[in-house]
Amino acid sequence: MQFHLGKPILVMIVIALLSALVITRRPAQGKADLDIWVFADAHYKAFKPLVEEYEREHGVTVNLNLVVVRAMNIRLASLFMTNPTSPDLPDLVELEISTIGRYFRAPLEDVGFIPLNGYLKNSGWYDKIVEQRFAVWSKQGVIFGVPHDIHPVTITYRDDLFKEAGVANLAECRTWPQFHAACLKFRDYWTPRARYRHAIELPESAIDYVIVMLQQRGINLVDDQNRLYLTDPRVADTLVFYAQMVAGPLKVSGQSTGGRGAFAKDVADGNLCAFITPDWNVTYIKRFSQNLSGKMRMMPLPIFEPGDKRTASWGGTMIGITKGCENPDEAWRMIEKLYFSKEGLASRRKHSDVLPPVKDLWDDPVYHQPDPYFGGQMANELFIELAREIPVRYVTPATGLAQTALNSVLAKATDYIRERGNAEGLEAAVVPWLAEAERDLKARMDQMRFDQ
Amino acid sequence: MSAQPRRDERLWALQHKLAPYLFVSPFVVLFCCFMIYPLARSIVLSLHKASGPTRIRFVGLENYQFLLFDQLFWLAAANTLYFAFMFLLLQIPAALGLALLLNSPKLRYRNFFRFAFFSAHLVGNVFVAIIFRLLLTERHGLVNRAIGTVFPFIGTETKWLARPELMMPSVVIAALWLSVGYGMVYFLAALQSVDRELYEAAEVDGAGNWSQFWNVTLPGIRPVLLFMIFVGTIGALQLFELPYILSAEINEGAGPNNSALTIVMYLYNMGFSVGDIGYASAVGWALVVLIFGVSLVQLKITRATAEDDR
Amino acid sequence: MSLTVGQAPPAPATADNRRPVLRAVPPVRPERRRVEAGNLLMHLAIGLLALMFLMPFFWVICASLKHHADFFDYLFLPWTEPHKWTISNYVRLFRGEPFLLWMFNSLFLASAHTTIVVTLSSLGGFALAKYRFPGKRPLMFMMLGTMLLPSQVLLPSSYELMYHLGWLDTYAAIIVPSAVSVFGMFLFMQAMRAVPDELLQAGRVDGCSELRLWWEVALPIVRPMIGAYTLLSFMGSWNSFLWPQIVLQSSEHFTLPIGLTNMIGLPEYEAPYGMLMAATLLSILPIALLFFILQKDFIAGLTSGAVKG
Repeated sequence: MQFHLGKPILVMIVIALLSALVITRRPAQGKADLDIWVFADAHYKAFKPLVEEYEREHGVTVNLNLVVVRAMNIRLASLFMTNPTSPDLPDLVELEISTIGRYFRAPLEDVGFIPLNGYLKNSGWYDKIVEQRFAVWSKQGVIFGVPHDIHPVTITYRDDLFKEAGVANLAECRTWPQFHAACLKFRDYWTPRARYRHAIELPESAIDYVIVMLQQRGINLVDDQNRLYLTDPRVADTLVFYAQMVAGPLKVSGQSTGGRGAFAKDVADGNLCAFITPDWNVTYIKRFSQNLSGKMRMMPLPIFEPGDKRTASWGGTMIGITKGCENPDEAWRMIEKLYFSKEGLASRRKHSDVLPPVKDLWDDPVYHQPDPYFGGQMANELFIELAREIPVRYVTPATGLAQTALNSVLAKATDYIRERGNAEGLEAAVVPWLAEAERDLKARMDQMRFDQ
Repeated sequence: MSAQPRRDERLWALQHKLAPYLFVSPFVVLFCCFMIYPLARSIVLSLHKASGPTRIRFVGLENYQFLLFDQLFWLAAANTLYFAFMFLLLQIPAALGLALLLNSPKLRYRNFFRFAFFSAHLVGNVFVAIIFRLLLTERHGLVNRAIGTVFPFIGTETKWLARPELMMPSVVIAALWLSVGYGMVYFLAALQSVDRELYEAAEVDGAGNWSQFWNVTLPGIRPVLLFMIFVGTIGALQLFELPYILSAEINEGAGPNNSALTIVMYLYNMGFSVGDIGYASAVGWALVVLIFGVSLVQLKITRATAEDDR
Repeated sequence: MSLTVGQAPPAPATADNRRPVLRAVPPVRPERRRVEAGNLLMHLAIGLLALMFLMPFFWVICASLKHHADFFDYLFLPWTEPHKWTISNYVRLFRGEPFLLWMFNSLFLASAHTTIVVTLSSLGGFALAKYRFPGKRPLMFMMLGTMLLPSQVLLPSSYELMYHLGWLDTYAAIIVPSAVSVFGMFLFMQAMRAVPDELLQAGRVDGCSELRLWWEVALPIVRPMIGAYTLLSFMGSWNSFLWPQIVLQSSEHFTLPIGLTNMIGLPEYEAPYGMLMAATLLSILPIALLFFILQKDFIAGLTSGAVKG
C-alpha cells in the first residue's frame, strides 16, 4: 500500500522513531538517596567529581541535576505550596539571589526549606562563616540556606591609563566625589586622544550599581520587616550623584551590553578603564584580557560618608535542604562536602575565583600570594579583607519590584540632566519621584500579597 | 478495488453516517480539553488571586480593578503597540518594495534572491535574538561597526540595548530581518497573480509607473495586503521572545527602565515569576480585548477605504 | 481616487501597435545603454540588499570558528591567520555540553508534533469539507471564535491543568495540547474542497470505506498542502519557547531554544560566545535542510491560501 501522507510525513515519522529510540535508550535516572538540583553549569561541573567521591565514601547514591532556573522556580514554588514533603522535590537545591524572594512570600512556617540554624550552630560552622551573609538567605532570623559565596566587590582599574592621564594613584581616592574628580581628569585627558575611552563602566539605565552604593551606606530598599526605604534622603543623594556620573556634562562612564565577552573585550581595548568587580568577574577578566597582566590594579570602593562600608555584594547563590528530604542529616553532610571542605574549595578554584564564605578556608596559601595580573598586588587578600566587612543585605519578595521602581526614577533623573544640561535642582525633583515610586510599590506589594 | 455488492447495506450506511464524527472526534476531544476548558478556566482564574497553581482565593473583579491603574501594565501595552506600529510601518513597505523589485521581468537569479531574503524566516525568534544580542553590542557588534564605517561621525557607540528609547527600535530591526523576506514571498505570489492584461491596458492609457502601481498593482494585491496587515498586527501584539532574550541580562528581560516590557512578558512575569496565575489571566484577557479592539479599528478603516474606492 | 483604468480616455489607435513595433525595431544605442545600466543598477541594489540579509548568517558561521579570546578582535575571521581558526567550539559543544541531548529532544518533539497535527488536521479538515453532519456549524463557529484569540491567554490555566494532570516536565505537556490546531483544520478544509465529489462517490460505489477515501482519494490531492503544513508545524514546534520554558524543567528534557537561552542570561554563569554561535548555527540547520526538501510545496502552500482568500 502506498503512503498517501507523502514523503514529508514519512520523513517525520522516521525522525520521530529514531529520536524516540535515542531518547528511550538513555539510561533512566533511578531514584537516588540524594537528589540535587543546580542551575549553574559551572557549579554542576565543580560538584560532579565531589558528588562521585561522596558516593564512594558514604555508600549512597546521589543524582546531580542541572535544571533551568526559570522553570525550576515555577515548579519548586508550586510543589512547596501543595505538598511540601512531596517525593518529587529534590533533597538539595541551589538558588540564585534574584529568585530567592518568591520563596519567602509564604509565612515563616510554610517556607519550603528546612531551617538550618540548628545544623549550623551544632556543627560549629555558623561561627566560621561570614555572619552578615546569612541575612540574604534568612527570613525573620531563620536561616534557610547556606551561602555559596560572599561576592564582595572592588574597583579594578587600568593603572597605566590613569597614570598617563595624570592620576598617579587612583586608589588614594577615599570618597566617591574624589573618585569622580579623578575620573573627570581622566576623561579630559583621554577624550581628545581616544574616542571610546571611558573612565569607568557604569550603566546609565540599569540600577545594579546604585544598589551597590546603597548597600555601602547600609540601605536595603526593602528590609526583612518589609519596611521601605525609597524615601530615605540618602537614596535621593546617591541617585543624584550616580545620575551625574552617567549623564550630562560630568559624565565619566561607558557601558557594555551583550554579555561578559563584550565587556572583557572593552576592558582589553581600554574602552572601559575601571569597573566594579565582584570576585566572580575576576576569573573572566583574567582569562580573556590576558594582555593586561601587570597593568591592572584593584582598590576598595570609595565611600560617601565616614562609617560607610568600602564594599558591597553583587550576586550570590545558596544551597538549601527542602522539606521533601527524607534524610536531612545525609543532605547536611553533602553540603559540608560541597561547600566547606578542602576538596570542595579545590574543585571550586578550578572553575572560578569565587571566595568561599568559610573564613577558615581563607588561610589557604592561594589567597595570600602576590597576583602578577594586578602588578603583584595581593588581590585576594583585598577581597578577604573586604569580605569581613560586607554589609548586611536582605532579599524579600518585594526587592525586585523596589529595584524596578528605583530604576524608573533613575531614568527620569538622567533625562532631567540631559534636558537641562546640568543637575541643578535635581535633588529637589527626585524627592517627589521617589515618594511616588514608593506609593506605587506599596500598592503593588498589597496586590501581590497572598494571605489565606 | 472490486465492488462488493453483497455487503450489509445498513452497516455500510451507518459507516458513512458516522465517518465525519469519527474523523473530527480526536480533534474535538483535544479541542475541548486543551482549548475550550482552559479558556473557560482562565475567565474563572482571572477572578481569583493565586499563589502557584494550587492556592487560589476568590477576589471578584479586584484583578481587573488593579489592572486599570497598573502603570506597569499600561507601560507594557504602550511598548507593545509602539512595536506593532513601527514594525508594520516598516515591514509592509519593505516587503512590498522587495517583491516589486523581484517581480521585475528583467531580473535574473530570481530564485536565489528570493531564497536569500526568505532564509532569515527559517531562524526562530529565540535564535535571532541570541544572534542580534551580539550583533548590536556597542563598539564591537557588526551593526555598530557598519554604522561607524559608513557614518564616522556617529561612531560605533550607539547603545541599542542599553538606552530605553533604542530598545524597541532594536527589537524592530531584529524582527524586520526575520520577517521582511517572509512578507515578500506573499507579495510576490500576489503580484504574479495580478492580471497582465490590466497592466497592458494601463500602459495603453499612458499611465506611468506610479499610476500603474496605484491603480493596478495595489487593488490587485489588496487582499494579500490586508491579510498581511491583519495577521502582522495580531502577531506583533504577542511580542515576547525577541525583547525577552535581547535584554536577557537587563532587568530580567524587561530591558532598561522596562522599555522592553511587553504585555506577554508582563503576563509571564506575573504568572510565572510572581506566581499569581490569577492576575496573569486577567492580563491575558486584557490582551484579548486589545487585539480585538485593534482588529476592529482596522476592519472599520478598510471598510471605509473600500467605500471610498467605489 | 483621481484616475482609474476605466476612466482613462480611449487611447489613440496607433498606440495599440506601439509595443510590438518597439520590440521589432532594434532600439537606438544610447537608450539601450541606459536600459542596461538601469538593469545593472537594479541587480546591484538587490544584490547588496541580499548581502545585507545574508550577512548575519555569514557572521554566525565565522563566529563559531573563532576562539573566545579572538571573538571581537576580528569582525569575521582572522583571514590571514588560519592557525587562529578553530573547531573547538563544536568539540566542546558535543563533548562538554548536553547539546546532542537537546537536539534529539527537539527532533523528537517537532517530528512527533508534526506527524500528529498533520494527520489530525487532514482527517478533520476532510470531514469539515466533504460531509454534512449535525453539529458541524456550531463546531466551526467555536473554532472560528478561537482563531483570533492570542494563545497566551491560555498559559496560566493550561499550566494549572498540566500541574493537575501531573504532566509537568514531561513530553506529554508539549505534544498533546499542541495537537490541536484550528489553523491546520481550516487550512486542510480549504484544500480538501478541491477534492471532486464525483471521485468520492465513485470510490463509495467501489466499496471503499470512508477512511480509505480519505487515505486514497483525498490525501493525494492535497499533497502540496501536506508539504507546506509539515514545514510550518515543524518550524513552529522547533522554535517554540514560551510554553516549553514553562513546563519543561530538567536539562535532560530541554529543547534547543530552552537549552541555548539557559546558556545566556545570568552574567555570572555565561557560556563562551563561540560555542553559543556554534550551537545556534546547528540549531538552524535542521530547519534549513527540511526547507530545501520541501521548498516547492512550501512556497506554493504558504501563499495559495492568502492569494485566493
